[in-house]
Amino acid sequence: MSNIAHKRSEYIDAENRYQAYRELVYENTMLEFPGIEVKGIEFINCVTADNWKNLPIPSARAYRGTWEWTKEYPFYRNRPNRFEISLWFKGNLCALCYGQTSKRGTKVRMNLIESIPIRPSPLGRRALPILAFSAATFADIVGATELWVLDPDPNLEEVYMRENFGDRQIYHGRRVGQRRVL
Amino acid sequence: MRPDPTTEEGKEEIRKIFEKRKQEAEEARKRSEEVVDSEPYGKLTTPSEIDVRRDRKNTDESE
Repeated sequence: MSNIAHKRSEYIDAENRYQAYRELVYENTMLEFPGIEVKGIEFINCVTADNWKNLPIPSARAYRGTWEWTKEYPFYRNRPNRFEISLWFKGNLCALCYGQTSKRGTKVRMNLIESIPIRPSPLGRRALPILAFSAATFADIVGATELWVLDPDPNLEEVYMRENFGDRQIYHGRRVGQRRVL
Repeated sequence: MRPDPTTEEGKEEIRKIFEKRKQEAEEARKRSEEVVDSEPYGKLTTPSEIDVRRDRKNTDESE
C-alpha cells in the first residue's frame, strides 16, 4: 500500500471511530434530555445559524466574534477527532458547538458555541448545560482528562462556572479559557 | 486505550462511562430547566480572528 493510500485508510478509520463516538454521545444526550433532538452539524445548519444575525431582534452576535459557521465548517469537517453537536426542538435548530480533541487526546476544547437568539427559546431549555454535558461525555470516551471552553466571553464567566468550569485562566500560554477537570 | 465502538466490549465500556455521568446528567437537566430565558443568546465564545485561523490550521500543540 502506498504511503498516501495508507494515510487515507488511517484517516477513514479515525473518522469512522470518532463518528461512532459522537453518535453514541448524541443518543445518550437524547436519553438524558427527553424531547431534545441531538445531531451533528451539516452545512445547511451552518447557513441557518449564520442567518440568525438577520432576525429582527437584538443580537449578541456582532460583538462576540466575527466567525461564521459556514466558513469554519470545512475545516472542522476534515478533522476526525472534532467534537460537533447541534440541538433541535420540533425541527428547529436551537444551538451548535464545534470543538476539538487535542493532539495527544488529553483535552477536549469547545471552540465555537452559539444558541438561537430568540426568546422565549424554542429549545424550551437552556442550551449550555446540554452542550457541556455532551462534551464531557465525549471527552470521557476519548480519554481526555480536561474539558475547556476556549475564548469564553468575559461577561459569561459565571454562566460557564455554573456548568462546572473553573474561572478564566490562560490556555497553553496564549489564549484564555475556562477549564473543567473531568 | 479508547474503547472500540464496533465491538460489544467497547460498547459496554462506553455504556459504563455514560452510567458514571448519570447523576451529573440529572443535575444538568435541572439546570437546563431553570429560568430558561435568562441564558445569554447568540455567540457564547469570542475567539479573535487570529485564533479562529489558528484553529482552522489545528496548530494547537497542547497535549
